[in-house]
Amino acid sequence: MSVCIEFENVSYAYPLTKKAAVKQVSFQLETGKCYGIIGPNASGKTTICNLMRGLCPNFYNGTLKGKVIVCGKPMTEWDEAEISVRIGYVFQDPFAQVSGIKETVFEEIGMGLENLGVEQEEMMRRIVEIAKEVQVDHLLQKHPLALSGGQCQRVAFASVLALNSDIIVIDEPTSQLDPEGTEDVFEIISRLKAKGKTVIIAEHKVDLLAEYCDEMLVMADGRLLAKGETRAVLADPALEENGVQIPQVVQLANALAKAGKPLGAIPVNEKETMELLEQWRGGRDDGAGSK
Amino acid sequence: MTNQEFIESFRKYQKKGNWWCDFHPLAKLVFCLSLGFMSMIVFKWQVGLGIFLLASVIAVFTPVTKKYFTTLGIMFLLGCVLTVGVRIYVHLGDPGPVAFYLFGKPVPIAAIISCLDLIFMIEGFLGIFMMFFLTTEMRDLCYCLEQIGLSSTATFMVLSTFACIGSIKEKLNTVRESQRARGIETEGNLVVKVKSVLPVLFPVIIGSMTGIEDKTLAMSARAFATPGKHSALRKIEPARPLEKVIAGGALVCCIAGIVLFKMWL
Repeated sequence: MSVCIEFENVSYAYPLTKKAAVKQVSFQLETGKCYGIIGPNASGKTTICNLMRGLCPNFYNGTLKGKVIVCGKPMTEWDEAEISVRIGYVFQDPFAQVSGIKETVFEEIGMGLENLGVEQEEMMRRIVEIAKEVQVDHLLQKHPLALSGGQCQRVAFASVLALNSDIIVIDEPTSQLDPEGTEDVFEIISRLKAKGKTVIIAEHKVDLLAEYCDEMLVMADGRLLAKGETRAVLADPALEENGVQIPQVVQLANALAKAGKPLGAIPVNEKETMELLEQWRGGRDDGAGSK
Repeated sequence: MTNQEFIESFRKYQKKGNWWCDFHPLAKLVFCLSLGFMSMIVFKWQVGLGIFLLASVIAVFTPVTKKYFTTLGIMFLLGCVLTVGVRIYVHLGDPGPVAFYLFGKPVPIAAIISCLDLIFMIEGFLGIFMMFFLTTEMRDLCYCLEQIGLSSTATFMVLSTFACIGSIKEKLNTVRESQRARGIETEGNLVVKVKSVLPVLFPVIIGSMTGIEDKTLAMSARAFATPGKHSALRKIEPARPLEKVIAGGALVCCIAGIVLFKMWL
């Protein structure tokens, strides 16, 4: 698989601060994979997302050292308009993403397409298609500011997806949503993954991330603590030592391993855990029977 | 309206079913600007009254009649009566033909005419502009302005400023409701309402400003910086010949009126 985003020894400090938010981070992200960025508060997750999208330092200013390369081209060479189409960005606050100047969800989703100068018929076709995909088709006539948080976040997804970006960066999309809204967002993410998009999600809800992501990047105090296949990364004991929250199912597996009763593999979701527990119990029963 | 009907409606020109509301926004702007400035520059009560009556007649045939007359009435009471009082007080006792006596001092006819000039200048100007703003959607006007070359950034600024006013009003209402829940008096006469709003007005405005950064980022995520002409979902019918004639006529009237009243009369 080709590399779509590359960080080469990247350090970044926001303006008026001496302490770098991200310190000497290097990694490569491959096209078509779903990546989760986890870590405690102020560990640099959002800054990593902002660096990928070029908002740091282009929008926030600050000091950048190292290189951020997107699709083989250094970020410094990307035009703002070009990068905004290539990398879709969904923010934390669902209501802050509403333009405020459109009176229906239909027009709100179409705003990005209007900015790209897409013809009206094509625009309407894409809006209807995306609205169905993210299940906001029943909201098309509503005012964007009259939606609930979950609905608004889905509209924000639709607005970004309408641009048909290859890479989607999502910064804590569920932080202000209820469990139902959270499920909806992850359902959209799984659809994006199925469509072959590269998805990067910074999120606190590690249980859900572990279930959906192919790989994990673990941040702690601005540094990249670990990167790799989800199961392997979550099994790393350094995560808990550095205050990184890990999924409950992994905690269970770790606790059993510590007690000398390992599950045999690290589960990443409830279903896997149940299966492993069944196998584990079967093995113990067999052992007890043979004795 | 079903979703299909709603989507289909974008294929047609946006119409409201009222001749004045559906008047081409740019033609309407030219018409109202011409008459509004004519009222202001000519500064004669006859002209102001004529424009005010014209705006009122138009208002009667639109769905905003009640809102128009209520708002204009409040503005009349607040603005004009105060100004008239000041004018009469200033001219009290001036030489010239006397209209009537106030507190034993003569009020000259010239002062009354001067008051009428001011009142109808304000009423004419406000009336025609209120008629414009009450019957024109800013997004339609901005679309038309974009079509003639105004940058999308400028139109976005206009639209978001108007949207911002609405959001500040909404936030103020939320704050007032929470104040009421804490037992603070928020309902009653104008003074009570003003007293409840004033302490939170500044923080609410500042709060709205802090949302600008988020808005900028959101716009950036929607490819707002893309160069070239933006397209539009909503379609506005181009100005019809009659609309162009009316707008042009108003402009000619304005120029002629200014020339006539300022140079010869």
